[in-house]
Parts: sequence; C-alpha cells; structure tokens
Amino acid sequence: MKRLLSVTLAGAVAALVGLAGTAEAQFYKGKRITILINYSAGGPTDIEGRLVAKHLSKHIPGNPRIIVKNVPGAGGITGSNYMGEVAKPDGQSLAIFTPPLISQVLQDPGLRVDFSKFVWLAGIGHPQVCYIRKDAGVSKVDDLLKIKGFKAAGMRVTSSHDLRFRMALDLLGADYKYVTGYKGLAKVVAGVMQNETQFSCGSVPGFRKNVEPNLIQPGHAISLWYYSAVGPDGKEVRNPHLKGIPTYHDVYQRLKGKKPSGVQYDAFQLINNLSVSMLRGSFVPAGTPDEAVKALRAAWKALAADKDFAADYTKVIKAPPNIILAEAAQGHVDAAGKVSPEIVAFFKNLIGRK
Amino acid sequence: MFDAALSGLVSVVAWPAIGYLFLGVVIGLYFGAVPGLSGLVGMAILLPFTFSMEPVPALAFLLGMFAVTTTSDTIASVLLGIPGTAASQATILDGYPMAMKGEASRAFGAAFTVSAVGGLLGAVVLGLSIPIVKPLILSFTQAEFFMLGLLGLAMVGSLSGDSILRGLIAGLVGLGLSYVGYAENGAVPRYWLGTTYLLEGLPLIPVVLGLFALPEVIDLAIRNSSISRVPEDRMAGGMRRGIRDAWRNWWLVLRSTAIGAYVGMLPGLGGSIVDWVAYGHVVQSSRDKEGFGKGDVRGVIAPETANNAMKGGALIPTVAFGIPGSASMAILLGALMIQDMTPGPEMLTSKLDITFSLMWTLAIANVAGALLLMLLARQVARVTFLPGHLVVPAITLFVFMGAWLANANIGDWIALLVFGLVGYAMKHGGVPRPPMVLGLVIGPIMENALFITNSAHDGLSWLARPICLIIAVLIVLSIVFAIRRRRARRESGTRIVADLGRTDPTVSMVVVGMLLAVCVYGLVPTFAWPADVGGTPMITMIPAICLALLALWQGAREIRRLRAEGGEVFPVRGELPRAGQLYLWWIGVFALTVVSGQMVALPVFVALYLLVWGRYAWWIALLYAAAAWVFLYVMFDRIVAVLWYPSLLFH
Repeated sequence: MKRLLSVTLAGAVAALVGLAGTAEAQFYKGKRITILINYSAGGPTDIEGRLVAKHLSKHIPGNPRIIVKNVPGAGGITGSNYMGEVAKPDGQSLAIFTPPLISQVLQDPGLRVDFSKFVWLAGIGHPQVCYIRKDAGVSKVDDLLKIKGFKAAGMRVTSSHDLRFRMALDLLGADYKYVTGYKGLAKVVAGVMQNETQFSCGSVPGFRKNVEPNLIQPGHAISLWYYSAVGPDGKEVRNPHLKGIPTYHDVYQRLKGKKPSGVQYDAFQLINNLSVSMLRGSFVPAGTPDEAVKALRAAWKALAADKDFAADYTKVIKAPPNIILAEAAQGHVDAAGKVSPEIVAFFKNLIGRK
Repeated sequence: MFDAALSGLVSVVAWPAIGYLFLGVVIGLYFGAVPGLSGLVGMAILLPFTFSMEPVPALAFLLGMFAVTTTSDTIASVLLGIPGTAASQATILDGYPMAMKGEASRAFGAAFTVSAVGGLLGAVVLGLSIPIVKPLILSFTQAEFFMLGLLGLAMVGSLSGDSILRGLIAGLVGLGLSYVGYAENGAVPRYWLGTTYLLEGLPLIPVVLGLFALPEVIDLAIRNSSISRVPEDRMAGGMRRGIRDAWRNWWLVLRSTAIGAYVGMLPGLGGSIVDWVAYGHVVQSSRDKEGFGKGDVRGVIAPETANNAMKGGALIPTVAFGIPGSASMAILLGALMIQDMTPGPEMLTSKLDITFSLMWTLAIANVAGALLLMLLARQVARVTFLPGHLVVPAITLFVFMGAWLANANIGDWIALLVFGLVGYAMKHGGVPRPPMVLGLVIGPIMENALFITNSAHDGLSWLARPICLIIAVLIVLSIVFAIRRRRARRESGTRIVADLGRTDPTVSMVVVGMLLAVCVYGLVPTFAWPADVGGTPMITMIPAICLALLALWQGAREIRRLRAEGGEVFPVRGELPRAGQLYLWWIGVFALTVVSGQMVALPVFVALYLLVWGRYAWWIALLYAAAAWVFLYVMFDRIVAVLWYPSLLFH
C-alpha cells in the first residue's frame, strides 16, 4: 500500500514537472486561434494575413486550429478598437493588421486604443517604388526638377502613402499638383495609365503586378526611386531585390548635392521607417498569458526561417518576406507613440494644406 | 486562337479540373442563396485551398464558385424579398410580387434561364472583346465615371413609378446617406454621430435589408398570410412558363447582357449597381410599364441576366491589366499570381489557353448552376405557400444574420432596425425606396470621381471629352423621354406603381417630414466645413429641402381633398399596434444578443414567436428552434467562421 502510494506520488510529481516543462507545448493543444485582419477580404492586408495564417500553425506547439476573420472599417481603426476593447487576452485572438499608426500620431477621434499597450509579436515590411510617366517630360530621374505641374496620385490625405510622397517631393522641391482620392493602389495605377495623373508610388507586389507590365515594360514610365529603411545607426538598409533602382537618399544626394535634414525630413523618416519596416504588424491584447506570447513569438521566429512559407509568400507577393521580430516591432510602435509635438504639428499642417 | 480555345476547353473538362469546377458550383450556389454571404466571402474562404493546386483546377474551383452566386441569389430575392447578394437587389422589385401572385416557380424558371444565358454570353463577350479592351478601359477616366453616375441618377424617374417628386426626394436623401463617414477627400468625418461604426459610411446590405425585407416580414406577421396570396392549387405558371418568358424576351436578354458585361468591365462599379442599371433600363425602354413593381417577369429577367453577364466583363480588366474591378477580382488576381501568372499582355499571347479556360469555366459553371437549381426550385418555391407565421422566424434569422455579416458589429443591427422603420413608413407612405438605395450606391462613386476630376483637370475642360459628351446626350435624352412618356400616360389615364403597398397620405406626410428634417440636419454643418468636404452635401440637401416642402404642400392638399370627399386619410392606423409589437420583439432579440449572444437570442425568438404569435404546439416551436440553432452553428460558426457578438454572458 505504502509502495503504491509512493509510486503514485512519484508519478504525480513527475507529471507536474513534465507539465511545467511543457506548459508552452500544452497551451495550444486542442485550442483554436482566431487571426483577425483589419481590412476586408481580398485586399493586400487580407491576402498577406491569410498567407501567414496558413503557415503559422505548424510552428505553434500543439498545432492549434487557425481561422481567419476580417474586422474591416474606418481605415483599419475598427479592428484596432476591437483588439483593445473586445478581444479577450486568452492567447486565442491574434491580430495581423496594417496598424493605422499614423492615426495614433494624428490623434484620430475614432481611435480609442493605444498601440504601444498591445503585446507585439512581429511585423512585415514592404519597400515602395515611385514611378513617373515619361511623357510628363522625364526620361531620367535628373529631369524631375525641370518639369512643372505634373500630377501626383494618392488615396487619402491622411494615408501614409500620400504623406510620404508629398514630403519626398517637397523635400526635393519638385513642382507638382497633388491629386488624391483613388480607391486603392490598383486604381492609382489605372489613373496613371490613363494619363489622368503622371506620378505615384506602390509597394513591391503592386509594382510587380501592375506597374511593371503596364507602364515600365511598354516604355510609358520609368521608376524613380525606392524608399529604404534607415537603421538605428543612421545607415540605410538597401533591398537586394530592387537592384538597379536608386534609393530616395541616392536621388536626393544626386539632385541636391547634400544629405536631407530638418523637421520635414524627420517627419518623412518617421513615416518611412514605419511603413518600410513594419507595414503589417502582429500583436495580441495586453494581458495575454506569458506562455502564449512565448509560443507565438517563437512561431513567428520559426516562420521567418521557414522555406515553404518564403516560397509561398514570394509567389504571391512577388518579393521575399521581410519579417521583423517582437523587439523591433515593439520599438517601432513605441517610436510612433513618442513623436515630438513639432512633428505632429507639421503633419497636421501638411494635411490641412490640401 | 482556335487552338488556344480548344486546349483551354480540354484542360477544363479534364479530371480533376472538372471535379473542382462542380464542387465550386455547389459551394457557390450556397454562398449565393444565403443572404449576406456572397461570392467575395466564398473567394476569401476558398483561396487558401488553391495554394497547392495546379493552375487550371485552382481557377476552375474559384471561378466556378464565383460564377453562380448571382444565379442562386435569386432564390431569397424572389421568395423572401431579401437580396441574396448585393447584385440582386433590383430583382426584389418584381420578383417578390411574383411570389405573392403564386408565380415563384415562373420567376425561377425565367431567372435561372437568363442567368445561364447571361453568364454564357458574358463569357463570350469576354472572349470577343479581348482585342478592343485596352482602348475602352483606358478611355474611361474619373470624369467619365462621374458622368455615368449622373446617368444612373437620371434613372430615378423610372424607378419612382407615379411619385416622381417623392422619388427625387428619396434619391437625394440616399445621396445624403452616402456622405456618412470620412469625406472622400479630406480627414473630416461627416454625420458620424460620434460612433466609429459610421466612420466608414453606412453599410449597404443592412440598409437594404431594413428598407425592403423588414417591412415585408411585418406584413407577413400581421396578416399571417402566406407569401403567395393565391393558394397552391391555383398556382399561376410553373417553371416552364418562366423559361418560355425568357426566350420570348430574347432581345431584352441580349441588351441586359451587354449592360452587365460593360458595367462589369469598368473597375469599381460592379455588383451592387449592375442590377439597378438593368432594371432602370427595362422600365425605361418598355412601352407598357403598368405591370412593373407588381410582378412583371421582365423586371426579373433584366437584372438577373445582367448580374451573371457582369462576371465575364469583370474578368477582363483583371486578366488583361491586373486591375481588379472589385474585391473578389482582387482575390482572383491573387490566385493568378500564386499560380505564377502575370496578368497583362502575356495572358493574351503565351497564356491565351489559360484565359480561354477561364472563359470556359464561366460558361460551364453558369449552365450547370442553372440546371441544378431548376431541379431544386419546384420544392424550394413551396415556401411561398406556407402560412406566414411559419416563415417569419426563418426570414428573421436570415435578415438578422445577413445584416450581421456586413461588419460583425452591433451597429449593423442598429442600422437594420432603423432602416426597417424607415422602410415600413416609406412603403406605406408611397415614397419609393429604390431611388434611395440607388443614391446610396452611386453617391460615393460620383463624389469621388468628381473630386478627382476637379483636381486632375483644369476647370471644366473635362466636360468636352468625347465620351463625357455622349453620356451627357444620353442623360438629356432619357429625361426628355421620361417626361414625354409621362405626359402620354397622364393623357391616357393609366397609373403605375413601382413600389408595393397602397399609399397612406398621413404616413406619406410623416415620411416626407422626416426626410425634410434629415436634410435640414444634414445641411447645417456643411456651412462650417471646408468647401471640398461640405460642397457636395450642400448641393444635395438644398434641392432636397425645396422638393420636400413642395411635397408636403401637395400632401396637405391631397389630405384636405380626401377629407372633403369623406375618404380615409390614415388607413394604416389599424396595423400600427401589431407592427410596433413585432418591432419590440426584434428589439428584444437585440437586447438578448447583448446579454447572451446570437446563438441564444435567435433560437429563443424562433421558439417564442411560434408559441405566442403563431400559437403552434410547444414541440413544433422547440424543433424549429433547435433546427435554427444547428443551422447557425453549422453554416455560420463552422463554415463561415462568423465573428459572433461578444455577449456579457458568453464572452
């Protein structure tokens, strides 16, 4: 009897130790993770989110079932509020968003959550390429400052897409007319094809899908530059897949003969860094159990090294995944939360000037 | 070319492509038949499954699903007065009255036939127009889109039946509703009432369900009549008759196909508008308009042809330029990229066989979908002969879930219930509802296009663009014809009613007064906004206010005349208490959902309604409620993975 008891006890202890050791492994066993996406089905955020959803589960111990739900609305704000106010911090709600960080910088009245309060897991960056029609009078990038009144196409005055190219063109001193309101990058490209406008920018997938076959290859337009991220050391990180296209810094240096600086440049760099390094961001609500966060962060890390994922992603997005991990992601979000009043005032002025 | 067409066909009918195609068709029929689900939801759900498939089966799967959602969406539109997808809103106008006349089978026969023909011809248009597609799409800039919007608004006349004045007011208020949310061209939110929900604008589907479906449910519940007002044994016209109707109207079918294919080809117009354009066209172009709105089969044929033909058209810019016209096409584009195909000139040269395989898929799926539905339709149509109390719980469930699927936000239900009241009042007040929906759909396209046009062109020079001039001529012609026809009709003494229900002059006054109040409320803040934010609302509200004042004056005269003649000025009064009671029940569903979620609230409504309103036995109520729960669980929770309301109890 005594022996039996001690065996049982030993077994129980062993089981407990084992449990503690594999808490992470056990956390997601038999559970379901809901991946939330803050834009509607079929958009670029959705396509990328669903790609991640397809590959993430196999890297999470316990292989939970993953389902995807869209919480679209208000330029990504509805979903953000949902994650802050409704989603439970039980490790079963995971966001893959295009976080509207610029809305936080601009203190949008609809946004009721603080992005730095979420627990960040990872981010995916996207370089963006700018292009211009040749019949605007530009056969090489040097001609850009010689022409007057070309039309630059955007989507919404408060979008980072618009703010970034307006600042980039303003910094160079280009003479352009700002036309905005196109619903999505595909419509922007259509407008440039129709010569309704002449200049715009697009992230790499759109650039490869729409701009190159319809505008660059037939010889109607040239690519001007791509935006590179600038690391904490002040050096720019070049993108090996965009060889042959200069970075914005190269172009600035060439046309102006100096490095860019000043408030406008700081504002530009803030938006640029956010979009280039972390256009998409993944996070869970504050208060999510540690073992869940650990497991999810590890899964993202494994995903970044996953060859199958990279192959799938490259096929769809036309560029390899550019994943940043938890610490870097959190850093970007914190930076967006601590923007100097001077820069905020600058943005508000720029938006109001339209 | 012929070789490519043939090898495209061979690749589609080969195994496993053909199997995936038929699987896609079955799934697509389901997504089209359930209100609120649509081809877009289906595309998003199916896309990940195609990652590892070969190109032709993958595209056959997606496109087979996508092709037929606008075939099966007719079912809910005709039987229940609920649009199955956004592309069959206009089908309700004559489809539901047909069901009321006991002609649901006939409507199905006609609709499925023309859906197949429209889809087939749309696919042919896709094949034939490949050479001319580039100049055509490139010539439609934002300026032309604005003019197209104006042309659409000119249709308000034909969608308003007898009450053009009230139709114009409804149309302008619809435009006004489309301004809710962030302005097209600024960071200023308009009419958002301080709720994040409204920042993105009013969602179309909850509004349409409220305006059209809830008033019909109220009437069913009050009268406990079956949807069909004639008994089953006197059922007028079966499926064969509908099929004959379709062939007899072959010229209309061809015209509607052209409308569908070309509207589909223009990026950004798409599904929610094509049915209205086709419906407006058939009313405008018919000599005998008396039957429209009362169950004229042509009112079903036109939109149902166009919404299937649209899909062939929509493929063109997607495949030829990589410019998706809609979110569904954006997903298809994604699927093409996954299969390592770059949309663009290459799709018309070295990959022409793939392009043809898309065309064949559309053609086969359309025919297969229609045949499958014809086999089922006779049984499905029986629903119209069930007593009203047995139908109300199911329709309520579909309407509420359909609205919920818009954003999975409780705001969807508030919009539904508010516009349900508005729709009920409009229906009985003789204020036509279609113009309001038209305004809501066209408003954003027009304002956006006008804004871009104004900043991309210098002054009004864009008005001189050739296509703009052609459209301007069409607008003038359609207005002139409408006025002339109206005059001729007045002389001959015939009247048409484009919306259901008899007109109650008192309710009419209340509705117009309400719309007037909305317009005044909408006008006030425009003065404080910057010109590019407040301009469009201002030029919408001012004429609306003038017209509403005129309508009130006319209405007051009408009431005075009726009183003098001893007629009844407020006939709906008797029904109001019962209608109000049902509304309280729905508000109860809302409240119970907040407490315990939809999975509890909707089955509880089903059971209580049957027990209290229908006085059915408890076991029928329980069985029905259990079936409702299973349906919610399987169809919405498991298959679609809908985001339920985070209730207090089960959050």
